[in-house]
Amino acid sequence: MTSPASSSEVKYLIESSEGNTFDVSGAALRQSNTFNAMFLNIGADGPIPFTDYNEATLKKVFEYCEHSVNEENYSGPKHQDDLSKWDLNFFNEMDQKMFIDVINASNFLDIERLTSYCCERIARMLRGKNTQEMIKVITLPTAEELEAKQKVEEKKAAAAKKVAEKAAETAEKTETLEELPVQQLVQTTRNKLTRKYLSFSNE
Amino acid sequence: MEPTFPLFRLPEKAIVHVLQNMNSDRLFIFSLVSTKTKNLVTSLGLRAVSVYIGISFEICLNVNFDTSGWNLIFSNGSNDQNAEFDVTRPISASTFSLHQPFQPSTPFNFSDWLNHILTIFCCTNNLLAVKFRAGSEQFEMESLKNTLKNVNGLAITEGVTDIHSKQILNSFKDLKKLALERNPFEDNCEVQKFFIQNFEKIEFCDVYSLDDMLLVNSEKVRFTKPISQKQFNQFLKHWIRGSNPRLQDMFLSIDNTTSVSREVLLKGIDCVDVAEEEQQEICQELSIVSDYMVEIRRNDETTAVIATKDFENNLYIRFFAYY
Repeated sequence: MTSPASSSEVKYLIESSEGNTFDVSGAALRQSNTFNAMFLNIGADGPIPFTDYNEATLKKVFEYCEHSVNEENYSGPKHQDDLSKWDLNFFNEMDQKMFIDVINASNFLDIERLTSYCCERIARMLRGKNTQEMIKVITLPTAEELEAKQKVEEKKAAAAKKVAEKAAETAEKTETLEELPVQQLVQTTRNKLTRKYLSFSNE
Repeated sequence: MEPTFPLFRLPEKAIVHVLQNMNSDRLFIFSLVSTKTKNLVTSLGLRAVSVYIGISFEICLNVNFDTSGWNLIFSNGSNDQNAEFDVTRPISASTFSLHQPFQPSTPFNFSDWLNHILTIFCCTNNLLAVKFRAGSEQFEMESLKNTLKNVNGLAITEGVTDIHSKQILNSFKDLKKLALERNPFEDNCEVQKFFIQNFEKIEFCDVYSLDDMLLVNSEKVRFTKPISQKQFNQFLKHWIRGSNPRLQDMFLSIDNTTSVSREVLLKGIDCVDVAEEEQQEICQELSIVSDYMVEIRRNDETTAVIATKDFENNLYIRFFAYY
């Protein structure tokens, strides 16, 4: 059920990229500024489509929102050392892929508290590092890797160009073939009409 | 193994959010990673309020923000303190938050380091203040002059030799602030050439005469060597008659060992006591401490307040002119 009502008991249906739907409480959803801007006042008929994100990611994001429903209003970043045991577990049990997906979703949904904690967590990884160490942490490609990547991209571009050229050729041929039946049809119709006219005039 | 994170797979807004969680010293190190990181840090619009460069046997570059600051130390790595320090060569920097000296991917010389800081922290060159200390003789002055362009404030401390002080003063022109801990000139006329310049502020820590005081053309002046109350009284009389037309704020002290009398200090000068309430307001506004305040007026109707504070055998005086 979806409703514009603001009571915390109200549940909203969320649709993920897989097309699956699941319930999220209104109180949890209201932590998303994107939701507030798009649906809070106008309501939503049917599931709210957050279809750029998979179910696991959205569930993880809203798990955080459900948990922090009763926390005070967000008033700026909290130091990681001040995070609760629950918060720490929440972050620690995510692998890197899930963590990136959660940041992306949280960023899109504009959930300030979650985005801020995630980003502070990344910032902490860079603490006490020199430039070379930072390059490793943020997995920035080296000059050799960049060169290799560029070669791969050039090959891909060349391949794509070939495919495009072939497609253009095919399209050209198809165009000629497609025109043929129409001409034939016109000719057939004309012949029929001529025959009809001739038979009529013979009467 | 250290945790890694592919930062650039995040949307730009999230990357900016990560950077906003970093202190300015870490942002600085991050900005050295690549052109992209440099541009990202620059786009944050973080502004340094001043950049201070202390030159001695090494260079200490201090970057200050509203509520924080950090420094980089550049050392030539030689055990011989007299070995020449070439600022044009690539050099590593040390900073408190890192245990080892570091360099960006492309080696920087001191000028590159400085320009990088000025760029990413949106500094205009006129925020630069340079202080020369003992040991700064090992730097080749021409290279330093070319590296440190548009220096705003210059200070030369007591430990710098007279010859070197003169070289420094010859090399850095168009200053707004000058601080000399010692007069490096034998001929007093030479130092007076600096008193007559229209700096924003001049600070002089050596002996000075009434003539020196009357030549001061800066808006602010700070003299640290005590003078006699008679000398100050004579200065006031000249000011009332129109001397030092640009002077707004002067700090000086009077040797109090012979006990200062207000009668001698203000002898022959028309003055009125500033009311208690007004004194408090002035102290608050100008962030000063004072136990006595009088107002004087010069012939062109300009008023000035003389605030005094007795402390440890010295009478400290602050003179504020209101134009």
